[in-house]
Amino acid sequence: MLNRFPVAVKVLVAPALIIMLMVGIIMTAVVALHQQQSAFFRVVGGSLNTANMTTRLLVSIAEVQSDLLRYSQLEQRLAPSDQLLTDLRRSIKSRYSTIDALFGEIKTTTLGSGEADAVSNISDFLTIHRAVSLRILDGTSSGTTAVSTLMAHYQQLQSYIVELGTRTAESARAAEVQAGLYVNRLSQYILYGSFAVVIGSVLIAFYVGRAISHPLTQLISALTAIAEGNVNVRIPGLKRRDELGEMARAVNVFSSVSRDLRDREHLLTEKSQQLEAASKHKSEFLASMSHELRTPLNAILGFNEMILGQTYGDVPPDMQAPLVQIQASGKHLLRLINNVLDLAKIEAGRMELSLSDYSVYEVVDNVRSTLESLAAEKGLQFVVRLPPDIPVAYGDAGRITQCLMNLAGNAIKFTKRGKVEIAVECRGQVLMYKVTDTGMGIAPEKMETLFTEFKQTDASIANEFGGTGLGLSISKKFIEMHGGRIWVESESGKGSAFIFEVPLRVREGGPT
Amino acid sequence: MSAKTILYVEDNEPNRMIVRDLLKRTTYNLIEAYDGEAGVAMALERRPDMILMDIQLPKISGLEAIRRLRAEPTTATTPIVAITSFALNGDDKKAKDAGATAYLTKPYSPYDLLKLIRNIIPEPS
Repeated sequence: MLNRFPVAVKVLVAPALIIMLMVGIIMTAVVALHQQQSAFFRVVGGSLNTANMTTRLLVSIAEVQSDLLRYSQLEQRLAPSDQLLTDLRRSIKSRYSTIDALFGEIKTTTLGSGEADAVSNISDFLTIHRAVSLRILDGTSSGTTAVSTLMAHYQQLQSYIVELGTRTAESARAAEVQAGLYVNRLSQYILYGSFAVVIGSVLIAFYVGRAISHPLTQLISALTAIAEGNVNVRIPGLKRRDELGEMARAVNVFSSVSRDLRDREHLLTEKSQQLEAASKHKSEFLASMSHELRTPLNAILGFNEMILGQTYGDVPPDMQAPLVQIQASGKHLLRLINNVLDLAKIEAGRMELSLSDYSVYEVVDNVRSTLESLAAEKGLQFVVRLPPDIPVAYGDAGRITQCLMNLAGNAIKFTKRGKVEIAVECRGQVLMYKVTDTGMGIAPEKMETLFTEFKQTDASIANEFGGTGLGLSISKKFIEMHGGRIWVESESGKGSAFIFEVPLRVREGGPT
Repeated sequence: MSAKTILYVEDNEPNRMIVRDLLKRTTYNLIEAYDGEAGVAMALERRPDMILMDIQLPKISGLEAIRRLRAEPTTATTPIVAITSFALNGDDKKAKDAGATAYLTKPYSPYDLLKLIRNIIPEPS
């Protein structure tokens, strides 16, 4: 097909072709007009010439006739050798030469068949007329009879010459009509030709335009389809040898790249759905695990509490301490279970804050009442410092309590003597909770790993004080979910201060 | 004044035993059901003064049981304490939405439960 020609060639060739067609039609018109002009000149010029000759012939013959009449009149009165007659004889003969010359010319210029007949008749009668004239001149024939015969011949000849004139005029008129017809036809041809050239040009322009725009349109719709996500689009024009073919091949590469991307996207979506499903299963597992673990623990702690509370009668003094240990260990186990479940929920992305208005005073009081006895048992001073003007806060009171309980619990756990202090400050829109102790402090290089899961500053500390080290990392996550931050200020041997800040009013749908 | 009846719906025998032992020395009369459907049926039949409803139950969940009881005129206003293992956030809200009067998390202290019961339906002095 024409597909192998480059677009550039098509764009250049099409106008050239149109211009050539235009030039062709103009040239044809010029040549035809020129030919017509020659033909016209030939016809009109020939007719004019014939008419002219014919007139001169007529005049010459009339002169001969007149000379002969005079001759025959003089002949009767004068002697044959008279000078006048001699002159006349010479004049007549010379006039015949003129007539021959004229007639010869007429014969060469006449064309039509009607004219040829007339010319032949004229020739015959001219011969007869001359023969009669010569007889008169040489004296073999004379008198009125010869003159009247000559007169008859002359009249006949005259009528033939007139006929020739008429015929010539007729053929000239016919040629004129024909020329007119020819001009009409020619102008029609030129008109049709121009029309054809215009249509041809339009067709060429249309073809070239379409040859460029059609594959482009197809490519554009293919690209649109690819953009809409239809990856199995057949790219048209891949086998073209022109620029559009190159473009189609480029689009094909683009299409296969986007097909790859789409495939990968599908794969990713699939994977993420699998992950989501896995996470959901994990979460469901956690929910049921939580129930399964708490139900027996509830029985253990419940029965033990009732035994200690003497619901089943007096407790022997020796059994008192072990029963208290059962209770403490059970509660410790519960805290561990809670921590592990919390962390698992956070990791599964299933931990959500339960936001509501809450009182900072209630949160701190809850922590104080829970830990007061623990601090007292260790002989630690337990101080709470709260300004009286903290506004109502908005956040997850349960989680904030859990964080503060973690920090204060740790402080009591790791402080052997001195005091543990809980202080809350409200600075503008930021709530700052601070737990300070007079414990052993934390070395700077160990502060970084403090909030990482399962890390305690020292394996020996873990042995001495227990705990999983989950409390701080869980607290950190809860505080970050509130859009806050947690950090520690400490000097080894001089105590520590654990501080966290949360917005006074947590933004709904904010950082989680 | 006659003794007040408490219905405890719970599928775990040791936990039922705790409440049974806890209430032995009180004037409360305890009746027990082992699953949600039985709990609803017993509540409608015996019209207890109070219901302790575990949330994780066989057949129908405690939440569904509470909803059904709230739809019945005889138990529409009966105090119901929902007891849950606090698996996910929002359990308390779900219990309240279903129509529970109060909410208790496992493991609970038996004496705290007794306090709660006495607050809601005091023993005749």
